[in-house]
Amino acid sequence: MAWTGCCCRTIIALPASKSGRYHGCRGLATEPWSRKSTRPHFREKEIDDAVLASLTHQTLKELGVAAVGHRLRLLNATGLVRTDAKAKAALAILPEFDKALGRRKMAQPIQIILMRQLAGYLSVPLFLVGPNGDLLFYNEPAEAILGRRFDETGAMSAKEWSSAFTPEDSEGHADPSRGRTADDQGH
Amino acid sequence: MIRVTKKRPAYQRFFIRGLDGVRRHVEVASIPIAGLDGDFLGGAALFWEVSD
Repeated sequence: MAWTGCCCRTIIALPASKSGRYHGCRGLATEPWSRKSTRPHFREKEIDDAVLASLTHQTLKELGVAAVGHRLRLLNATGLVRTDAKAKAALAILPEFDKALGRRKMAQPIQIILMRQLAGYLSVPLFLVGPNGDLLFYNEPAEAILGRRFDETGAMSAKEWSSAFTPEDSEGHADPSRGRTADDQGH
Repeated sequence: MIRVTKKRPAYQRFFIRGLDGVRRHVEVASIPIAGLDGDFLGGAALFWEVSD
């Protein structure tokens, strides 16, 4: 992390790219900070790495970044787009959409639906289960290892899939250590 | 298989016999899936065949 100045007369910390230049708005890249006497700099306000990700339009405004465009550039430049907040807002609005469109509640949480969709685009075998351990989906690369297409097996209960895909030790016996978590194994 | 319902990440290496009857050596890493409010939604297991 390095400190640099912006055209909006604000000092801000930015990650240095590989080339040594700064990510960020045009001003950050082209106009080094020079007006020392007027800067409402972040260091004095104790804006460090730990709180950088919490900056919002409001906090930037309070720090003296008056122009909306500059605030947007700074937020975008530092990767401070509030994805969490956006995701929360998107999730919060989904029931309203459903209600407006007269749809029934989704059968699965949006995260599971998106995870399943992601799995379809991965070359890494991925196996997806629900909160009670039921098999929800496995992708095409996983089919090669599990020995059957998901279209053929479909969703399975936890009992069904755990007996269908039985883990074994190197001797071919049922693996007694199966079911251990990373904690159990001292990781 | 690894207990994804324990709500903890886990890693394990073992052999598995697929539904085609073929025995394969695999490594599995599983993670819990939790929503923004911390509600447990399930788990995902990434696995790959070990090249001995």
